[in-house]
Amino acid sequence: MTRFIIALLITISFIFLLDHPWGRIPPLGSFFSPQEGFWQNAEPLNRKFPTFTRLPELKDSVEVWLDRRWVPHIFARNRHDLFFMQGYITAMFRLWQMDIETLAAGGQLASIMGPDLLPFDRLQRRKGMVFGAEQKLKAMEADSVTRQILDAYTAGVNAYIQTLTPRNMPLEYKLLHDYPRKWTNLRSALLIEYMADDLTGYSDDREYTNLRRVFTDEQLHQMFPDFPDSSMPIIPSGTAFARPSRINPSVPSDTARARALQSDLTRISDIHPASDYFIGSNNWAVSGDRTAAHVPILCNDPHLALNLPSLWFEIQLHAPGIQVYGVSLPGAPTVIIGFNDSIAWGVTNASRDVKDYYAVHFTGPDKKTYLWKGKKIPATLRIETIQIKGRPSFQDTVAYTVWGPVTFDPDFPDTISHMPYLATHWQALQPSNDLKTFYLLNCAQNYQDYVHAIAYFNCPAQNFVYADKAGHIAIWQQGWFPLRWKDQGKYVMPGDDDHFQWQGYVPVAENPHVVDPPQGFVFSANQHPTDGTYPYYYTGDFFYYRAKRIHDFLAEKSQLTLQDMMHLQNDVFDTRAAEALPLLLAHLPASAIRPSEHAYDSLLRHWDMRVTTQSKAPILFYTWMDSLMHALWDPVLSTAHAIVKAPSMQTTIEWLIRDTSLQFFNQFTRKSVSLSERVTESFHAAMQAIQQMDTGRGLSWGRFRGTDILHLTRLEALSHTRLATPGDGATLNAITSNHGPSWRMIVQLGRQTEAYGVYPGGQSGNPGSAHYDDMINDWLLGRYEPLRMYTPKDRHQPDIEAIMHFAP
Amino acid sequence: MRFVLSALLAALLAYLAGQYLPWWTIAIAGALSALLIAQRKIFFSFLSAFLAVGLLWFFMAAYIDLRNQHILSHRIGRLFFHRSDHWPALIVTALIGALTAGVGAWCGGLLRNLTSRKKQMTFGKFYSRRS
Repeated sequence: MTRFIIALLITISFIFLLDHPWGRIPPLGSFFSPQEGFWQNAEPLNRKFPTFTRLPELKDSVEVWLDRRWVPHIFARNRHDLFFMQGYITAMFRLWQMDIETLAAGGQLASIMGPDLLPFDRLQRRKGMVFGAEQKLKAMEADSVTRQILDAYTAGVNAYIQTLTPRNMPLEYKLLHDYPRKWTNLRSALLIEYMADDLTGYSDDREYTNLRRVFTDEQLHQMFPDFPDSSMPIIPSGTAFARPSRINPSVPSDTARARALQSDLTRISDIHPASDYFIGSNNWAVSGDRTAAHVPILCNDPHLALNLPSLWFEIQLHAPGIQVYGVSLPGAPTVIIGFNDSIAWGVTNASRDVKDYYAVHFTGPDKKTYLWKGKKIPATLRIETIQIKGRPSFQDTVAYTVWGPVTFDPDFPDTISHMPYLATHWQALQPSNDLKTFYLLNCAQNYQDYVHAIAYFNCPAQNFVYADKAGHIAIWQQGWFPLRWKDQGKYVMPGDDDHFQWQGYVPVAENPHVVDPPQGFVFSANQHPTDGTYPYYYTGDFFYYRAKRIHDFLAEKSQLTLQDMMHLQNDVFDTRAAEALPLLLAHLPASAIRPSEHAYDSLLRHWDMRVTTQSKAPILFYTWMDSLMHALWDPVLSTAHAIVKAPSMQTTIEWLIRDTSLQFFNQFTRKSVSLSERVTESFHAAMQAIQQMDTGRGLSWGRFRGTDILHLTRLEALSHTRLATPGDGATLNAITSNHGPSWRMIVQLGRQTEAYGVYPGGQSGNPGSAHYDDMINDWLLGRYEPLRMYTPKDRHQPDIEAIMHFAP
Repeated sequence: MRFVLSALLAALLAYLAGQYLPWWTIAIAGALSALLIAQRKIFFSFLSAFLAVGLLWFFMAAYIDLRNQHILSHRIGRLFFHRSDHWPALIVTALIGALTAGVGAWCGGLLRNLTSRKKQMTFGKFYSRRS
């Protein structure tokens, strides 16, 4: 008897041990069970899809074809069924990704990942992510069309979730011991908010505020110029702008008050390096006059964080009134970048500043009332409840003011400006129906339709490039942009004075745009939208070098072909290095080069400015440039004794061309140093650092920099890491350590549309599928896949691997 | 013979249980096989279920793995064992199945002894009384 009881206890404890998660280890019994666990996610290479499925929510029958790469081609008979199936099919391949991305957007990660994620969740809530999504949802649901689309999509996702059992759930749920949550329209809005945050959430206002304590406005304008010496604006320089219908607001008389805001800072010095520009993108359209086929070609490659599963999901949508192919964002209906039978469109980030901070004066620590125009007015307190895995939930009180949410307060202090209360005023928190733009673009037939569609677009402002089969090309920078006085929005402003408010918006019709320009092409690459003659003041985070390269390439060649476009998207000519290196070398006297440095010097002098995986020169150049930037700016910026931001490499290079005597810099050093001395000493320092790395195994850019495409859990086993990649932030093929061209698309709008595309991932989000990462290699090598838009007649095409029928 | 028979029974029950019930019911499958078919020693009950379900899980996983061409087993190998290889995942799968069913069968065997020893004893007493 006792032996039996002992055996029983051992058996029960053994099962208990294997049936429970331990820390980050999932319940091993179910996880390894071939009938229940991860093995069920190991798809046979010739996976079969159900040929017929009954879905009572459908209004009519729908067919979904999967091609060789598992791009779904959805053929529906009405709009409701089309977007219902988009939700259903997207969930079929990408459910976990949609779930986790919207949880991240809404600050709910701690509920599945544990207390480590609490600070992240709090920041998301305090930035107003959920509030912003609610605002966007309000606008989307007020419109009957977008409401129907969202409702249908949500119902489709939930219909798919219903088919799931613990056995056939996506692998990540099994790994994290988690279950899918119900989809809602708000979660689609959160995904759109997530993109708005990714593209407009960056702000250096607080670092700039710190700089203002010690530098004069004149010095700051030199360090951070509104218009650099060289620029290649989206609207060709010299284009005449219409007389503005609104006037630029005048600068408030006492901007000095903004300076006085700053309390005594803890004296630390931390200089944020000039960022390697990565959330950028390229797009361009060439008119038929300049192409070999005499029809327009449109290209787009948005540069975003590279992850697995990929941000994008390719899809074709077909129903009466809509016939479109392109990439969608899992979690949101419609095609975001793509083409239809008549037009093609693409986007890059406008990079204009639409996020400001205001210092709010609360009358007490309970954040109940604050000062506004000399009066006390009440704040709205929003209680954010954050669930934490394995702990009681956390409650955070966020005060909402006329400006927006108070992101930083003594409960969540700002460590950059150290101001006690900072409210975020951000265009992404305004109601807007950006989804309508994409729906209308999906259906657009001509230029008027396109202009009508993009007028709905509010935030994140984009450069919408356009081409159509009638032969037109165009580009509009579209979004809602505040009217600003000069320098407004660069630094933290006083929060009790309405003079510091945004003074309305630039009328949408007066946003920078150009149609069929004489040069025969339009393009954007996050550069300045206009030259200095544009009547409205703006500020932002612009990048010049890629625009320069696109312009030079397109202006020089005619008879452009699809192959030329593929070469251009994969181009690795570094314009930044091409402009800076001759200057550096001119100030490096031959006599100063040490014998051990001769080889490096010669490599740099003979560099063709191309950044390939094999190149060694870019390592030398960027290490040198980095060392020079520190030598120049550290003495200047450390006088701020605060967290500040360094001027960009472009500003520095242009400065050195103008001020070879280093007058400005020498004010901040004990003894005067000449440019030649600075260049030489930074060369020695850089080459010494390189010699230590150069251990004979051969230094190459691809291995030196490397690119990681991480799974969203950051688990290395599900990721591709240390990929040897070409390019850098300043080449058109703008790959960095974890960002890069997230979708390359080329569309030639002839009678028969010819389109190509590729993205670094695969259609399936399942790490156990052959289609999880099957396009990464093509992407690395600059190869493309043909994008085929089918009509119902094409059902016998050899490329179609499976046909699924759905009916009510 | 009885050994093979109970192993086959354990495998069959474990397969059916795994198909419809939580994974740990393979322990009950092991227990049932030991309860229904007696072995000379408890250890043989354990061993038959251990081998039967271990092999069952191994072959089910291996079949899936071959059709998947090791894509996922290599990732799981890297995740848990820092090796891009399918063998660690397959072996751990087989061991978990084998041990769970094995300890189940151990309980089953002991339970059978508890109930059947009484029978044996009565039978023995009766027999001894006759002699």
